[in-house]
Amino acid sequence: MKNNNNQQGMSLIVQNTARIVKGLIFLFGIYLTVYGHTTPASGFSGGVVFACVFILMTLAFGKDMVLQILGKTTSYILNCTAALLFLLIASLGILFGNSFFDNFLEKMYPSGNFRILSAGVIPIYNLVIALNIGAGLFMVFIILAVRRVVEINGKRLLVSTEFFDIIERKPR
Amino acid sequence: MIEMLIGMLIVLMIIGAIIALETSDLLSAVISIGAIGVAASICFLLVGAPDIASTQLVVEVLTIIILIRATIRHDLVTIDGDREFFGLTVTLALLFIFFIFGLRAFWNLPEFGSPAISQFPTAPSNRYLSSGFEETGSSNILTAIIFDYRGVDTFAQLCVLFAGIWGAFAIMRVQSYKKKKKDNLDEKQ
Repeated sequence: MKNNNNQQGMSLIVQNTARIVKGLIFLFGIYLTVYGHTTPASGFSGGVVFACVFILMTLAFGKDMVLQILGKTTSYILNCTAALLFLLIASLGILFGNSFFDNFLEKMYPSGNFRILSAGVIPIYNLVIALNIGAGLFMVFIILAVRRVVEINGKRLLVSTEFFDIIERKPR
Repeated sequence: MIEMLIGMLIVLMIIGAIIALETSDLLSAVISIGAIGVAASICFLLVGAPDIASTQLVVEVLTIIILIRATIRHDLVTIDGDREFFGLTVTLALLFIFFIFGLRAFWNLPEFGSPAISQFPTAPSNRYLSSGFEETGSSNILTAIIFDYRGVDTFAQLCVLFAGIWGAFAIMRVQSYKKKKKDNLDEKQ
């Protein structure tokens, strides 16, 4: 990282491994989310796995490549949309069912089986929660680890961590 | 057998916590915190809660990455100094009192493996277990409880996480909104 200034991220071995592994980890996150109502998993762990994929890519390839795919703006649009969708689906229970958080789809189409399309609105809740948690935790990672507030010449600037290290080492 | 394994893991967790407190190297402290999390995950798996175990493991990995990336830098600031006698005495006394009450509560617990709700026939948990699959159609009873029976609870958790993330976002921002507006006005003039 320090020797090669043109290339961000870690060494070639780490980059190639991450390139192979990232798809498998993403698939595992999708599995945890989609099968959350039939097997021991939930949208929460699926969402954390989604966030972990992007964090792995940030550590391996550098922040510029990942921020192009899932930037700060996209992350918080996803986060807010998922939270509002959760509230919307819960409120639909008042309209179609009896009460807030009513499982109205299950009452319309009863499904006492172990398939993916069962349990009414619970899989939709899982998907929404996974989106919310994944985008939110990636936002936390961006805020805490990639960027940092530094005072340079009396001005407060938000800079990347690599830049921060260079600035800090100069006075020695 | 399972109880013995859980006991060994708990001893490992206590050793890890003591190392994390006492060591002067920040990286060692973070790694021992990770060991505590993995041991807790294995404990959940042994008790029979694979749902919580997977979530605990994944969150632990994420926490360690964020801790290492955010706190570990080239110049480590270590805190060394003597403990205050008064504070240590008060802490130990409070811990002793807590331990005595905890022991009393521990002896009142039902035996390992027999659920406590079987003593209360009118508890709502009995209904979740007996008719949860017919009512919700979800074969994972934990997801059924989280998203159907106690949906408002999950919604409040989501709100807490949302507020936490946006609080961090608001604290770590660079420029305030008012200042930005003022700068824009200055540019226009």
